[in-house]
Amino acid sequence: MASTSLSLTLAMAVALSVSACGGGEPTQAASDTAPLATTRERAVAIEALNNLGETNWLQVPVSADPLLDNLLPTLDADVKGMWSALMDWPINAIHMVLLPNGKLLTYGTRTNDADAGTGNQDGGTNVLWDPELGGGASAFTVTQFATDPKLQINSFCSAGTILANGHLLTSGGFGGPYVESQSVRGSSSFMSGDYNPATNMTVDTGMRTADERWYATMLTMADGRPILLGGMLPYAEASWNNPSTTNGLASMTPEVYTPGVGWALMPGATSDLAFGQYRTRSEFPHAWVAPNGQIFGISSDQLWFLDPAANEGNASIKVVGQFKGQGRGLLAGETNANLPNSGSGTSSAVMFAPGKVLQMGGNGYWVTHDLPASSAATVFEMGDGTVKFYDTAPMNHPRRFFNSTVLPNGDVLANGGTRYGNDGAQAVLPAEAWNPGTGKWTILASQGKGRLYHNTASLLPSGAVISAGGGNPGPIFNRNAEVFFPPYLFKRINGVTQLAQRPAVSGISQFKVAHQAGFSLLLGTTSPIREVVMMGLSVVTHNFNPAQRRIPLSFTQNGSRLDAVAPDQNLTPPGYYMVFVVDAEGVPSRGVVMAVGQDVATPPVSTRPLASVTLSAPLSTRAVAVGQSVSYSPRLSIGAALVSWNFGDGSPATDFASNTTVQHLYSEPGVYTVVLNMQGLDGVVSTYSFLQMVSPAQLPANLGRFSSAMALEPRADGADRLWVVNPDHNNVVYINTTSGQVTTFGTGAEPRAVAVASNALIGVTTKTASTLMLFNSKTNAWVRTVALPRGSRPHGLVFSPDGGIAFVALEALGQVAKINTSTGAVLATYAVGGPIRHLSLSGDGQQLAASRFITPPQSGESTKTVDTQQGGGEIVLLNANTGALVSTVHLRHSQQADTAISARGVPNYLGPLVRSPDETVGWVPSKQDNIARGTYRDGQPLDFQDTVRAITSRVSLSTGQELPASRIDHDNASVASAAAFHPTGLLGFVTLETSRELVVIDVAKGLQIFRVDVGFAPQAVLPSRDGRKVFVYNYMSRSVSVVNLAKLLDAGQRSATVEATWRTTLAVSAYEAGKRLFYDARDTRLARDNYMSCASCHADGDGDGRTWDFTHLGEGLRNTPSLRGRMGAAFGRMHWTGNVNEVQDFETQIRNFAGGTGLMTDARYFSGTVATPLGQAKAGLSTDLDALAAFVNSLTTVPASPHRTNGGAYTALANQGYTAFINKRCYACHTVGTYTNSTTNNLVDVGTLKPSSGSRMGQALTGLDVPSLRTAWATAPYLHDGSAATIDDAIRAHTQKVGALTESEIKAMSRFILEIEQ
Amino acid sequence: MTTMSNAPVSRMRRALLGGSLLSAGLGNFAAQAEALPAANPLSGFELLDANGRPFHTRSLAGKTVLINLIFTGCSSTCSTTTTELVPLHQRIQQGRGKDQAAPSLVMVTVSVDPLSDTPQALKQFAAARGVSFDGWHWLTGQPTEVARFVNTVVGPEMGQKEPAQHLSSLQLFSPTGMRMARFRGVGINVEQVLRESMRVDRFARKLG
Repeated sequence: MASTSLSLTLAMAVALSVSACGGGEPTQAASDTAPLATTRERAVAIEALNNLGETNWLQVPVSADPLLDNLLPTLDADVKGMWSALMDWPINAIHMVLLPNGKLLTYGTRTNDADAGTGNQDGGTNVLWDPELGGGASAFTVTQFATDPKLQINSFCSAGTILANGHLLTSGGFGGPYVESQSVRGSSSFMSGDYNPATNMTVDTGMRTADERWYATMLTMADGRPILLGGMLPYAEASWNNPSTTNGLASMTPEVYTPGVGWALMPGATSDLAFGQYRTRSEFPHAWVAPNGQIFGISSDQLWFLDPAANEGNASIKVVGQFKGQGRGLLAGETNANLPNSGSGTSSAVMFAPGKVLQMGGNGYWVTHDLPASSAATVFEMGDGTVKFYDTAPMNHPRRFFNSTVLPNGDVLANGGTRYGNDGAQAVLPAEAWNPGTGKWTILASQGKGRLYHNTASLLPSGAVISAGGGNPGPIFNRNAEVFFPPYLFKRINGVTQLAQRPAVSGISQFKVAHQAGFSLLLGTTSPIREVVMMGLSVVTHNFNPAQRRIPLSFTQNGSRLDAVAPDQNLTPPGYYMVFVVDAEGVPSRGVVMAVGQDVATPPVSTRPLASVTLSAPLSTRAVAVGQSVSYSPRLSIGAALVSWNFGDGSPATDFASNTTVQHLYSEPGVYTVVLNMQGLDGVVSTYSFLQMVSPAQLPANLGRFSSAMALEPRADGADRLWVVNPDHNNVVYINTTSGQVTTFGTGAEPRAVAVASNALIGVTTKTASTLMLFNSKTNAWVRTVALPRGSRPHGLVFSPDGGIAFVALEALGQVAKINTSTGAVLATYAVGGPIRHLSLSGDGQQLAASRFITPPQSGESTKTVDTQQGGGEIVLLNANTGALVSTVHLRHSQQADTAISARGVPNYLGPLVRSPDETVGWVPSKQDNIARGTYRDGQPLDFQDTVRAITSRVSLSTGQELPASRIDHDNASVASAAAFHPTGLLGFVTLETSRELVVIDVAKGLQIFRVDVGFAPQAVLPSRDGRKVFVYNYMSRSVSVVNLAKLLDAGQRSATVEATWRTTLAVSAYEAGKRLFYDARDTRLARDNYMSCASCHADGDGDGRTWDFTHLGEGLRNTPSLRGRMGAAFGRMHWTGNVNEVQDFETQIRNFAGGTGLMTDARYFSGTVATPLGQAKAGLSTDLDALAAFVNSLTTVPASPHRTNGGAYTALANQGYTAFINKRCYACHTVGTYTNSTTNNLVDVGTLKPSSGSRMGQALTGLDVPSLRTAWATAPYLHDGSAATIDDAIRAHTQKVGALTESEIKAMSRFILEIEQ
Repeated sequence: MTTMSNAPVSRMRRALLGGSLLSAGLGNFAAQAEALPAANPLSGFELLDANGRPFHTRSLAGKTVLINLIFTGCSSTCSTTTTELVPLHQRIQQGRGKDQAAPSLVMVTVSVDPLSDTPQALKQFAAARGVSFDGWHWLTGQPTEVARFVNTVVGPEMGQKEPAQHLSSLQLFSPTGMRMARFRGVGINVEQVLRESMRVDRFARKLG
């Protein structure tokens, strides 16, 4: 239902958006937004709007800006802006270029020379600054690319423009180390360099200009070709005063560049007036591509238009007016505003709007002119081949050798310079800004350093302006920079000036746009946008930055979506521009660099798709209790996105609305899946989902207990102790959960369970030694060892709530011993029957649950047809005080379909009934055996995934019945070995032995939330007291994994991390490697999809009580034998039909049954008859296979029989039975000692073969390998097909062979067999 | 002295010294007026060619002209430039009358040391470097006339006392006498000079 309503909402949202944005009424849609310039642009914009939902949004990378982020705003920063502290700069930055990658290139002087004079005029080193790295040496890349002072290209006083491939083309220039003794300087005034941002190197293009171009201006024309205007013979500006029209120093014919071809003169544009030497008209002519596609220029006193297309591309040039003329001193009564704001080398000019230029300051034509600076400012408005100009308000400070920078909000910033000559004493420190609307200048904050001749400035993508350099020669030498943060970056709120909230561009339709084509932006805010502007990237030197220009775009706004149209090639000549959006308060976004023009390469940004609205910061999802409201304040990548919440508790999803803090009250505890639907205004809805834990208002005080190999001892100081047994090392350890420190105590043989009582007692059962050991955790000493019946094999242990009673499962006897922990007296034994291993006790201590580890045979399990309706796994519920049977919980054979994710089967290898904190439900981890399956039984062969599967059964503790259809099938594992609940009861934890995983489960839903990789053969699990961690005991890694749940609990994520792994022992047993392989199925060599390990059916080397249908492997019904005491290959041939003769032959089962790729290499396995079980030996062909075999071969001993006398002697009856055993010549096959004659390779039929017995290796079955009688007492049922439920039945099955037996003989022989050990 | 740059060193030094020229410059501000462009600045000079015959520069009017300055006593670039100009001249001559070269492109080499450089000295210097005088005028003459030509046509400050301070560049003039470009005189890029000269010549011809 939820998804249906969601998609409906989405469809409606799209429809609404389209109709609201002018689906049929374009003019109306455009009327309430910014005026659109042309019909074509309007059409493009509408087209863009109609494509709602089809935009393939790209992420606009979030740029770091340490300088801005770490800024402490001054009190008046909102009015005057502020300057950063002085930053060291590797060189005096005479040239400055903002690259398409957002980095700032500077060059013009050397790094290793603090010379403030001309000797350091050397453009052979590139210094690249990454604004994202802030200040400090690491933010710079310094590359010296020219080393030969005479021959290498040198960009000092060159011109440059950014090419369509994002490289910088430099041309002209001069310099190199000045060698006084030889009076020479390297020359590259004819050369053109190619600067590659990727290498930070400038290399000679090989292209030469016809003329020398020192102090030229380079532009990219509307057709994309760079043009060089003006320039002169190096150091020739001293000739500014020669009025001759034919002097030979200036470069009067422009040249145009074609990449790969080179430079060509424009003979129709030769002009002495525009580019002659008089009044240094040749020096950095102030020129721009005009709206009519021609080039407009101000060359000191001359105003001109150059038409590059005229005369068939030979161009034409026309002087269209004269500007203020002769540089001069102040006359009586004049102010600096009366001085001419001309002289290209001294004044500054900027295109602040399309076709509009502001030129200000200056006066005179040369750095050495001792003239007062002008403060005048003139606006030039370009027409079609005409120009109109008029003075606007003068600057507050006269300036020469300063920079002007147009800002995203349209203001022009002037900073630096001097009031007189190149006099450092009269340096102008205050910046000021001109507002084109008011025509007024406003004084802004003062910078730290005087910056005169050779200083540079550039707008940065952050919207700040960097001011650098000055000197060489100069009265103030600056190998440093400072950054101006304009007032628009600040806002004063309640008297406190802070960084202003800026519109953030989070998505863009493309990073490259053709001229007059549409593109779209997505914002992180919805506040109204006043302007979208393109700002040319700076290429600046000598007070002039011809590449900067500010071009507003036509656009429409729809919430956070802006659809804009790129201008034509005259307003934005092909190249790279920063796109800024400016909000209603004049606050600009960061600039996004775009390529503009069909042939311009996409800027070097990562173009990752922004398919959807995303969270821009992690969302806190801390657990609450019922009755407390949750509160979410998501931060979105697109602030304007509408959001709808689905809290996952059945309450209806909220309507899509603006994203504000939401609160919600859950009425029931649970793990809720909360879905945040985020709808961008393109209509696309994306979702973010997380889990919210809502715990019960009160947590139960008395928790149930269950037996485990691990127990947590609460400690008053918080450093709880985690107790863990080491069964193979005969010790128990506690681990300080704060420090991870391990403390070890020796125990009797085979400690299996450890429990913590409330009275400071720690109990450990020792299975082989048959004891209960009690330890006092206050005194840190053993208190007593309670001897339990010989061979009783105590395993599970739980304490009563007060610790006064210990309940111990005596697995071999099928009893629970009730022991007084104060005295060690066994108060009672409760006869439960069956191999009970694990125990649990209710929180009130009243009900005991004993799990039969091995499930009795199903009815019909020895035949073709297994009854799957009856029987099942058994948990016996007892009155803990009296031992009276309450009921037996049956975990029935499941009726699930056999698929890749589930299967039928009967629970087996049962763990304890783990009670939930509220004691409503109990979980029983186990494996599930699909014994109804098989080629003979149902026609489906046993396979790697549907034979044995890990499951957790859930039992209602009120009814004592398994909850219907609620068994949890843990896919891709075959043994669920342990379970536990989170203190809140919201989460359950199950360890998966074969797949080495911890599963985290939503208790209420019974669904897996996620899994965590832990160690080999995890067999116990417990949460920490605070529920923040889960401890997993990895039996075969001999370790504890500490799983930190923070990601789940705090962020609602479906993951957790293993924060530590504690070793429980450092001892390594002899067969460690092989035993680890025995328990593992995660290793793909051993099994496919983590299912079948050896231990899946031979836990601890025992059997599993099942009779499987192995017909598909050429056999028949086969009862799983125990491996204990079978000695592996020493037994002789193995398996019921003796079809293998070395343990290594199980390589074939690994491959053909478990689906592993094999421990042997294919080359070895398939060589000769190696692959054949009785063929060439596999031993010695694989280290790992040999290790596995060595472990199995090591299983030579058997447990003590609990049926002997407590002293270990045969009972009298057994002695009688032994006599009969001899008399009846049973020993002929069951040789006394091993009780088999397998080594004779003799197959015997005692009369038990039948059709269900199948065949042997696909051939006729004539007899069976004689099974050993060792451990017969523990391994019912009997015979190859499990057809004998008891030893008595098994003996009776031999009468065909041994002749008739009396019942007393049978009884006596049976007793003897029960007592066989050896 | 090695002249690697096109700029006379003395000027460069003056630039670096800063205000040394300043007072003179300031004094001229008020008085100066701009001169009107001459009809063809190249016309109106009476020089001598390498055969000692009078050469009137009005014969250059209407032609696209490449001009460079040398003197035979030159120890630096003059010989190199001459050697490098020979292949350019050959290319021009080969293409003359064909599409590959400007029909009216001529080369002019002028001595800046007319006191020492007699026509015979020029001829000897040129011939020794493989110069053919067909379409390549080697000129000297009365020192005052040569100085007037150099100062007016090549550059106002070219009448240096030391011949070594002349510009080594190769200057391109349009048929109307407009200086179009000043190619590098050492390390001449023959193809570029030819290409750009032809471009100027074609353009001038198109304009008529």
